[in-house]
Amino acid sequence: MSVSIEIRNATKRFGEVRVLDGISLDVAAGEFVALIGPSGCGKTTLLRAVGGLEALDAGSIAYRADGAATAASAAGLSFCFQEPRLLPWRSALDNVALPLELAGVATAERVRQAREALDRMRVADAAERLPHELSGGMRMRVAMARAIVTKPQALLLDEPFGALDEVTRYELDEELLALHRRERFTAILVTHSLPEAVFLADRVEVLAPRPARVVKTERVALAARDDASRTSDAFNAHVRSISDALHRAICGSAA
Amino acid sequence: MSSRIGWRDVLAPSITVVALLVLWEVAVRAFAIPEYLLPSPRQVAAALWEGRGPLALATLRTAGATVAGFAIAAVMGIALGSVLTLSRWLERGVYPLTLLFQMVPLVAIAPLLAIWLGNGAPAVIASSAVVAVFPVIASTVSGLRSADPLARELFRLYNASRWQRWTRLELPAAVPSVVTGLRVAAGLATIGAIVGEFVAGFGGDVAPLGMVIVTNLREFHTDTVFAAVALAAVVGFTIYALVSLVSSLALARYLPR
Repeated sequence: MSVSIEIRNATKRFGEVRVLDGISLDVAAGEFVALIGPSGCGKTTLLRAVGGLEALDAGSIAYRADGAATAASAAGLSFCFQEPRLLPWRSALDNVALPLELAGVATAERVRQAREALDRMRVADAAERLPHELSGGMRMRVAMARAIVTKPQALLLDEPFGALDEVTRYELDEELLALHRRERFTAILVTHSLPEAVFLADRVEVLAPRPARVVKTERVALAARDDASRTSDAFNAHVRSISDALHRAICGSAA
Repeated sequence: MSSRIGWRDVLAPSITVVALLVLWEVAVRAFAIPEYLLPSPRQVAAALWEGRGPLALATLRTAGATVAGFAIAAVMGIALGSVLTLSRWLERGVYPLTLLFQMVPLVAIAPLLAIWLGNGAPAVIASSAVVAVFPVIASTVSGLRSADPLARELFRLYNASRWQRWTRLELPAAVPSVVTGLRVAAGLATIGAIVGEFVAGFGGDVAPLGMVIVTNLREFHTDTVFAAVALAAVVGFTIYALVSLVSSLALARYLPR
């Protein structure tokens, strides 16, 4: 019930700068892939290209649902940004219902689905409140609820918890993990946090900048993913391995 | 709500007003200033009381013209401002002209309005609307533009139509700006009505405040002029206060950011 994504030779220039230069990447249906790399390495551009927010200069991105090719617009993609991007004059509930409203879903039905999404993100009690009345963590939960209210086949996450404090971030990491286990959508996460990438992803792709290329693919094998596993030897070994690759990528590109 | 006005906010300016009136009264008596130059507050109050009947009617007429002019300016301003943002070409081509028009002094246009619309209410209302409309246009245009670009991207992501983007993003985002424009327009509408009455106020059987000012100036009834000016200020202040009240209710959703 989810989509696979094939990126082939994606190329994108901003003026003189080649941000993406023939990068290829496969994400299987239901897989959780994290993209990690130094700032400006093109990971966000790649994610935005997958979501149709950025047009590629060359290359292609193909989406497959149950083996059949689909268009990006029909692939059931949903975005979660670093900023919650909630409309300040709308209650949490009305913000979550927005994608359904714009798609022409009837009022009663969209309110029901929005309440359900808020419930799944465990912020049902915030439904009637305005964004400025919510904490940063709750705003992000509402934004996540809006991202999942359309029952997406693939969730594209652009540093979604980057602006939150560490404790809230851990909470939301666990929420996202539980959500992914239940609903098995395909997920691509752009992050700067190595522990977050290891905690959430089946696979971590380490990117080197200018132009973006994959310098290491780390398959995460953890017996369990919970609070305790964050300090396990296996967890730390993964973080170390990615950290080394990242370090080489940065030094290599500077030379 | 934290924006509620406390008794101190009323008392402090009241003290200032009373102090100024006392100072004025004392100064007029101390320097023996003739009434036709500067009447004392007591003389103005007396003129207000003596002429209360015609002045009350004059105030109502001016207030009516101001409210009508303001209402036309509000509706036209929001509509024109919205139309201007429909296309980038229109915005570039026409919007700077509206700023230019704003610089044309009303006293220069008002006689023309009197020629085109004749003496009486239509010319006065038009004069009021003409000055009040520009801040509404400008605040609508800048308000519609002010929508968060990140939210715009979100709407693009959801394949929102132009109409959906306008009703659900741009118009709500424009509310704080439009409200500010409407407040400015409320004050200007009063000025526009009075200036309109200077040149076109002598139609009809009741003289409006602008006309009262002009005729009494000619006869050196300075106390009545002051009374009429005070009443004109009351009209402007009342409309401004009403617009502010309604807008603070409308803005409750937007504050604090």
